[in-house]
Amino acid sequence: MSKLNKILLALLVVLVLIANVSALGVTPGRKIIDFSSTSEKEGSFKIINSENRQLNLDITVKGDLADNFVISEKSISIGASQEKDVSYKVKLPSELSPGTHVQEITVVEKSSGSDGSIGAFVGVITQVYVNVPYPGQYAEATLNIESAELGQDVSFAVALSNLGQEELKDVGAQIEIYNSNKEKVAVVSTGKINVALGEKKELASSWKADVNAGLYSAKAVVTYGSKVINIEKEFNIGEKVLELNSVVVKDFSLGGIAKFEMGVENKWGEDIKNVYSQTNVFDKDKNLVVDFKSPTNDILALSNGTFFSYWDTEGLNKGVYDAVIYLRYGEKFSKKSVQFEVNSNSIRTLGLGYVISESGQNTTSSLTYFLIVFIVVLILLNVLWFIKFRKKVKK
Amino acid sequence: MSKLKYTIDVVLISFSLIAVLMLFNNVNPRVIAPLNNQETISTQVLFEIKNANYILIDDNLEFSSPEKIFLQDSLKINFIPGTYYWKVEGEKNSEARKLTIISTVDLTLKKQNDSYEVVNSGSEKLNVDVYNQELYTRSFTLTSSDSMISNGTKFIGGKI
Repeated sequence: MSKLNKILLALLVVLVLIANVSALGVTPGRKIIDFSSTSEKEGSFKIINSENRQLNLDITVKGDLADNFVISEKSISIGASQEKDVSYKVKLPSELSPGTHVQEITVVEKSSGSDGSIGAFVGVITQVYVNVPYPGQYAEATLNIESAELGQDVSFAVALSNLGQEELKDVGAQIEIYNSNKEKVAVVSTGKINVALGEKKELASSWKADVNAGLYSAKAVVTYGSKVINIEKEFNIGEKVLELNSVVVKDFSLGGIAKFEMGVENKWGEDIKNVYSQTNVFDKDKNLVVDFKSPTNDILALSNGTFFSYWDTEGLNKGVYDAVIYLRYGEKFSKKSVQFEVNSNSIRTLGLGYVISESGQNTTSSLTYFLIVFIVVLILLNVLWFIKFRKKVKK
Repeated sequence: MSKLKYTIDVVLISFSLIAVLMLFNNVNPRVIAPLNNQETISTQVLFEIKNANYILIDDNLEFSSPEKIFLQDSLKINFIPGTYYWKVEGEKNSEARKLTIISTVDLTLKKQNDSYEVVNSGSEKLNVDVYNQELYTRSFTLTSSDSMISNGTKFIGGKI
């Protein structure tokens, strides 16, 4: 193929790709306006044309305040790979019902006259939320929980929004923690805070998870004035972990079928269902020799289970083989690398131990230590020099 | 004799000053990126920081429930759109800085025979309304970078 033909083919591919793709963007995805006595609010958004062709677009507003919007341009054209800012004004009525009034500004390709369209049209929405305060004291809250490993601190954060017309004083929360059997295992309290009008603040607390791994739930009771907000959320302690504790092969003779007994521990506080083992054995050149699996089984919470699997060793030579044993459950798995030492009458498993890696922690650098020691030495030298030796030199 | 005395004075004081300056430079965190008050539509932000061990990120200036991340030389962190405050911890802590990830709603259509692959190429989780000849037919949800094959003549995406 000549160079010219290659260029023409590449151009054709690019043209086909362009003709088959249509894209449109808008930013921000949402703007929040707090309702106030000021009757007119202004805003803007940016339309992004990431296509290699001009786009002709219509802009429309939907929502209970749609008639109050004045958009700078209701129909625009944006050149290839260009962006354009569009501004708007919204005249708010003197009274609105409390809550969030959702308005949607839709930017959509014109359904006719768009050269190079792919037969369907793409549109994007930028939302305008008009938040109208509730009468008196009113707050909304969400509970965020940062799960932790066993023995570590679980962090609770109650995010509070003051959506009322009064300042909230002495807002606090009590969080009750329950295990999967609905038994209360702990209660923690947050400090107390004040939340000004329209403000968002956070109540935080933590709890040391000296419990079994598993699924827990937190029930937070947030109190402000005479009102209460109840929030409930589930969280995990530790990871859903299956640990391979032992691999035993009994009554084996080379050339026959080896029966593998694998002891597995469920360290999770709940049953793990549909677990099976999968074993891959490799030769010295890292070629897969065999892949054998056990039947599926359930392992009860915090208990041990045994998985049986079989390896036909016909034609196999004595020696040491690398192997990887997977414990699979759902879409997850635990993995362990071992070696099988195959002899005439036995298979021994080597390397069944776990290595726990620690994340590095930068402590004070050696240069800092050196500099601190150096400065201390210099201070001593200065003191000795100015108080003792300098006078002797003078003499 | 007096000249020797002053020479020793100068040498001692100079060394002391240099050592203190080096210590000051070595313990103070040096933040190269991102800048304070940075606004970006990219959800992945590169943090380049020297002389610090951890970065603390929270959505409030009180850092009441911060996410604490171990620092590497150049660390890329994925954010969801919003306003964040961050500072670094080391021998000394840095001042708090503000970072804003601006949300983008971005929809891409790719023609596939008689249907379309609808791709969420923005940073927000989207609800996509599907129309056929201006008649609403169905809706589906797409997380960022997610896609769905669908028939229709108009696809309109908005933040959930």
